[in-house]
Amino acid sequence: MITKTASCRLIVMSLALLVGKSVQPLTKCFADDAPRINLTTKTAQQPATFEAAGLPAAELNRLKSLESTDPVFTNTFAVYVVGDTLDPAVPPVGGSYRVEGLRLVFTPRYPPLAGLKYRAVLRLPEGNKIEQELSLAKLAVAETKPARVEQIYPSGDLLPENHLRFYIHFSQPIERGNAYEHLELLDAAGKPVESAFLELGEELWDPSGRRFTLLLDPGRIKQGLKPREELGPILHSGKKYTLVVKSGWRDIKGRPLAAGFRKSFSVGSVIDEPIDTKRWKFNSPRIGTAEPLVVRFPRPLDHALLERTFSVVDGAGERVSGRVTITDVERRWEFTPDSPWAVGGQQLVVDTVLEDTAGNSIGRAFEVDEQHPITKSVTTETVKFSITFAPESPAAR
Amino acid sequence: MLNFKSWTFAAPLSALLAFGTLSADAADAPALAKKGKPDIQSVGPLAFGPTGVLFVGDPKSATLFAIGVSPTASVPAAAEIKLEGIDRTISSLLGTAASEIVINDIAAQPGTGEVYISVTRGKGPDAQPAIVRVDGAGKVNEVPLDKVDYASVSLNNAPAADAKDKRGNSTRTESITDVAYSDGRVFVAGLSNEEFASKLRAIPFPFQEATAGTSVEIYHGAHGAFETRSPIRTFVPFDIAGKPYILAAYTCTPLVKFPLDSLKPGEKVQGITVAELGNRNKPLDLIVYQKDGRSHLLLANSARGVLKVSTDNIDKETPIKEKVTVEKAGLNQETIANLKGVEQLDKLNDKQAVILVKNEAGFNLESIPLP
Repeated sequence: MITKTASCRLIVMSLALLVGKSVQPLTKCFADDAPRINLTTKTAQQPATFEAAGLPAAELNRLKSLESTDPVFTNTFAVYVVGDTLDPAVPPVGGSYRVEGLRLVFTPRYPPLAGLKYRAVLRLPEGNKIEQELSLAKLAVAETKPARVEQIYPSGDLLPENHLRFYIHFSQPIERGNAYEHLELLDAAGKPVESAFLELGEELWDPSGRRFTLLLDPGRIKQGLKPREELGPILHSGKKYTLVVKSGWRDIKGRPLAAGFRKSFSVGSVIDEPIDTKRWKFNSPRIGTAEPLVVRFPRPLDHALLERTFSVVDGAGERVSGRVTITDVERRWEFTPDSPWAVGGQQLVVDTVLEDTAGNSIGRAFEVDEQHPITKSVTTETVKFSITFAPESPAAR
Repeated sequence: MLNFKSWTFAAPLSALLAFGTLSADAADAPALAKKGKPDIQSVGPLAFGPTGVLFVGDPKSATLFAIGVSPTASVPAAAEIKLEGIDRTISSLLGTAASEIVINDIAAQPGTGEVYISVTRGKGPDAQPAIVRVDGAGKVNEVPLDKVDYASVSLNNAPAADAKDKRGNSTRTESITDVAYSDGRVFVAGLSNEEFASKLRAIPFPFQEATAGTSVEIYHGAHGAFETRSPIRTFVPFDIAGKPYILAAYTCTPLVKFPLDSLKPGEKVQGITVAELGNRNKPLDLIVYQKDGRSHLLLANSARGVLKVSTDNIDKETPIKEKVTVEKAGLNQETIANLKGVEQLDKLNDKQAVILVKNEAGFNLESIPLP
């Protein structure tokens, strides 16, 4: 049996005899025999593969017997990322190989990136090689608006001098990696406050990539530490500041924010007391209604922790489902049960990790040092409040 | 000038620290009881433990993995590592652009001259983790994680961590800021994106399972977490006068020592500040090494370059109540002038460290003599 490749060679040899000189390259033979490289995507679920066709059957048979990661494969068929500069030291893309019919198929370990250029090199047994630049078209995604800042917490415009933490909420996931380049704290004159933020390489994002936690440098908040002694506190009581989110911050589609965002605020006195739950005020919803349970706090508390650390349980300790809203510059927590309140032993359970905006938690101030020895500590992990109810409403009877 | 003062990190031990001397070595296979592909969702800090065991912190799944790794056969350690553009090399290997990867940590496998690097491919919430290895010849390969011996332990002991925001998404995450192994225990420092209290956990290795077939979180709320009131940036286990300590560099700049035997359930732990690193500066990475019969610390900083810190006075314990002045001498320190832009470092062998250096063109991986 004569294979297509063999027949092609036969024709080439015949041509050579006819014209009296070598006829190259092989690609001039049959179109379907010609060595060629494709980047293919079969379905959205399957990873894109680089495929080389036109290798002689004997070569394919030899490759078939090898392990899918044998280095012989990369000597035959290798894919490189095309960078700004041609760097010969750059290794080929990692992945696995298999022979599929008459094709040698390379599946990169990670899916090729749409829009990035790859250079595939196929070395033929005869010593020739072909190279091709390939790229996946960027998928036409349903056009969404670029990300914008939806809210910054604390939502109030008066923060304590020892304020610790901001949460920046975005409408879409944001690119990680250089968050602090896009943030600035300005004083009243518009001058950036030096070394204001705690810059963490890890960057504190929530799992959705839409909420960024920004900490002010605790070294300038805590008393007696060198950064504070040399540079002073970040915020000064009685002054005004603006936290700026610059529009150059990109979402994960690579688009800059729809607009920058500015949060202006004034600074008040230091808050160095633990959260005192005795000062919380509770309402008494009516039994038999779905009236909200409302808790009011004398000072703003941390927005994310208010969402996380409060739960309502029934007499059996089971969580009561409902909807939480946090209003009045994080001084009011409201819980509307999904079903009307039934008679019987409900409690509000609060995890003691709850903090205010300056990092003071229940029973423990943020700053604990030799000037402020620990006089008491909270050993329980939760604080429980029995919910009191007003008598059942006449309408509900 | 360093500042030698005492500073209390209030550390209510909310939990039992599971102490005990357990050890594992390469031959002790049960330490890595599972075989296959660990479900690593993200890669943060790396640390080597007993021979052939690499610890990988996975902040996304709040899990610590221990993975069996063996050195590349027949590739002896080179006298020197100098890989310019290591970020481009890694990104090409991973089939992406250099701007699309983040290098998280480096760890040298003792005795092999090989360097492991944890990398995030992509910059969105669905970014993928990868671990690459630079062998003794300087060749960079991805560490295949499809068929490895491994073990894991969950770090998620916060029962409220399943709290959801208005969109129904869980919002709390805990970054793992550093991992280190010492004498049968892995220490893990973490930082939440919500509450400020950071956690330092001591986890016995081999990890323990309570019931057959069930992977148990041995660090449930009441067991094994030691909370401080300030996040630890980087730390290193260190013996002082024959007693085991942890030396920790805090995000707010002090370098603090904790005696390990003080970490007892229900007690407050007082860390003692042995040095302050100065303002406009964040500690990045820390190693300890011996030279000329003395111990030294090598500390990479964001603004002050690489500091070599003598440990000659580290056994002094200034009383906690004593107010000390800024000028009071602490541990002697020296800035290593020719080292700029060092973001990560690890001890390569008794004479060399390996450093990851950031420059305008990208990142270089280099070996340097221990100063």
